[in-house]
Amino acid sequence: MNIFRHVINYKLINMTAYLRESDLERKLRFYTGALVMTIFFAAGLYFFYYMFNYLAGLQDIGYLLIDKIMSIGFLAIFIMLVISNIITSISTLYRSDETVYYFSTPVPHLKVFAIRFFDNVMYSTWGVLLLGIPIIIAYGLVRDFQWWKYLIEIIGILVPFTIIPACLGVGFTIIVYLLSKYIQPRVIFMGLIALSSLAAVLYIKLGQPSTLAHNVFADWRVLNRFLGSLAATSFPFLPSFWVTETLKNMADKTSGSFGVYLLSLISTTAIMLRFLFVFAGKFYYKSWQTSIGLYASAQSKIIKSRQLPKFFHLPEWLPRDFRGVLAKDLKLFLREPAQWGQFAVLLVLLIIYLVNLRHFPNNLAEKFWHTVISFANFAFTGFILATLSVRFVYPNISLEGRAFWAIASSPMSIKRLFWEKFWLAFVIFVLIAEVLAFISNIMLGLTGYMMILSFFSIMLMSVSLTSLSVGMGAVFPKFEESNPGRIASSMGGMITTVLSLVYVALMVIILALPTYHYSAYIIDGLAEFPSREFLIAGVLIIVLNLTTTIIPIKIGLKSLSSRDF
Amino acid sequence: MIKLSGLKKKYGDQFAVDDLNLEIGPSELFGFLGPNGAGKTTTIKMITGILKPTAGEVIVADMDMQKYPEKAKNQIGYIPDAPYLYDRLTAREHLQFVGGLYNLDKDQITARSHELFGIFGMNGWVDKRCEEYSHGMRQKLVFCSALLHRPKVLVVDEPMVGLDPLSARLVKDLMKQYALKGNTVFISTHVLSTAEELCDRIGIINKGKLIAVGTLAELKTKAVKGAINLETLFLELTESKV
Repeated sequence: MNIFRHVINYKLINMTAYLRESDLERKLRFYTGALVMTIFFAAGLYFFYYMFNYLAGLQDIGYLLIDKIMSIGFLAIFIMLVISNIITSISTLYRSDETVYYFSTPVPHLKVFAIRFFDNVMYSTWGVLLLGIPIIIAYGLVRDFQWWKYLIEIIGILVPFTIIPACLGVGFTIIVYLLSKYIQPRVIFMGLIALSSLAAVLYIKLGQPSTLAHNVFADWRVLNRFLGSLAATSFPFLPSFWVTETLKNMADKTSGSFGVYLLSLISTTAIMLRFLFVFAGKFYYKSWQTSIGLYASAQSKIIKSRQLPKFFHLPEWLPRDFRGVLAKDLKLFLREPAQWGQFAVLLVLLIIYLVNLRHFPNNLAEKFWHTVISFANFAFTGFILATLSVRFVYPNISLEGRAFWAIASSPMSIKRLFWEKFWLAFVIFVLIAEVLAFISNIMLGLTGYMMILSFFSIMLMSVSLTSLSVGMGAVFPKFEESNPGRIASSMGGMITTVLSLVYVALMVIILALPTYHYSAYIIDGLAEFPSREFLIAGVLIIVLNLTTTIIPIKIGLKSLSSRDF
Repeated sequence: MIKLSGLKKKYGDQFAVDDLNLEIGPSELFGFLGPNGAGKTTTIKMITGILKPTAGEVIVADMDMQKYPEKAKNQIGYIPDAPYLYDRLTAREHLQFVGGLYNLDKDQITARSHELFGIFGMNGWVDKRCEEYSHGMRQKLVFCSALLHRPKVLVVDEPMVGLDPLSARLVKDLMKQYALKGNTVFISTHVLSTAEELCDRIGIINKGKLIAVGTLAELKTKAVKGAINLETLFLELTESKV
């Protein structure tokens, strides 16, 4: 019997149990989730098709621009996949009861690795696939692909493209645990974060991507030349480069070249897999043993500082029970590498973004472009906030997990716990968001009305996104799961992501109209102040934010209060 | 059936298990006792092949765990204190899954599952998902999966956790009968009355070292203060104070 196939078969039965569900409420929850996913997929497809189609219409540079966007996009996805695989593998391959169980059975160690590696790839990439498939299908639609090219896109390109970063990420984690006898994994991860930040800053400094923005406004022909020069700087040994080149050459019908890049992608995947399995065959079980030792000695270590660092000393005026749970949440966050590690990575990316904004031309002649850029920045800030809230706020209720009895049996009400989760997330969020918005607005040279608008909009966004994540986290809790990353990428997490992104999009759309007219009013002295547009936008914003704040909190509270623990 | 020679496990600078030597024969029901953090679970994890010893060897049913882990594990049925179950599988599906890991064919699994479900009184639950089970019911299912492949050695970490009195009686009788059939049962427990009632021999571990081993009568002779039962004996040997 093939053990691997046997296990995967039962995992599928376990995963698809909802399809055979007899309980109506669970059935409904599953089908609602599936519907939201389908809408997300369809909306993604429509959005990218619309965008690529629009760009394709631009004379001379349309396709060049699409290819450049694809190239940058796939590079970003590649980096995200490597990081996501590293973080997920810590809990999937090492700190997991399921892995311990497999080691107690006669399943050979390498097969245990194969089973857990498969799980890791699934957990780390399914969200990316949900976004990646619409992108490449939209690309195919714009470039008039025949049906067989779509098959190549998905099976020949996307699948290998997700496996390569998985091999790199998992391989890296094995090395970290092997070295953990000599160096603390915390130090290795911090070193990696520092090194990658440095590499990114150097890349931005040396690559000067900001010139792109300047040239867009100055002269389309300069942009054309600029893009041509950027092509030379693309690193030809990266899988993201092979993906874009395969797609480009398929579209240009240069079959010879597309074959070369496709083969590079497939053969590298095969070699990486082979290498990883040889490496894992020798070292995975050994590194797993080391991780158990590390965990056991960490357990026996006395935590000297039982108090929180001074920075986190909580004010005395907070109620005691509230303070107790708050302190517990902060301590657990700081002692969980999967949490603070990913948070640190995201903060570094934000800093890089802010540093990069410095290169944007402040001397743009047209105020119109100022408005456009500030809006793009606003949308980006919203996107970042949505990502942060789903990743770090959504799992908070679930993370109470098996320890929920302690709160459920205490005089502290579930309602109070719910609000503790809300306020903790909101305070941290609003601080990060306002600082991010303020610095980026200064970098972009924005003042006055735009600054005030940005301040209030970000404040509203923080409230709504926090409510969505806390509320939905209470509706779809996964108490049996201890990995926050996996909670965030569960079906409930994906639904929350979709709702949060839709909310951000609506905020941007509602604010865009009055701002567009306002910039016309500034530029053209004859235009009227758009008071009517502001009024309509104001009402819409209030309705939208009340809806996204009150409804998730109400249903979240109701769901949590009616639950048996 | 189980032979532990010079067994050591080191975490950092500390020995969780230090030079453990023990031999348990067929038809024997062996009780393994010790205070919290004494090294019981680490020892069990080495016997079941989950952990690799820092030094020493584990022989199970004449099979060296280091040299032939797959063959040795095939002879063991393991019931951990916090077992892992796939929550959305039914009991029937769970046993089919576990049977596959032990390379049993489908007919064997079906027949044996039917037998075990009958023994544990689970017949009304076999097509319900594990997430709907009480703690006791989950424990029964774990017993079924550990006995599915008819192992020669049954290793049980805290066997009575979550079981109602009737199920506890059932499990005790089952372990006794299982040992009588020529198999070895190794149980680790904190419930001293269970050990006193069931075990042919008892081993006491403290701070990673096996400090006493023998029948209850033999152990009582070792007690300086004239222990009258296993509880007083245990407290004396482990120097625990109330």
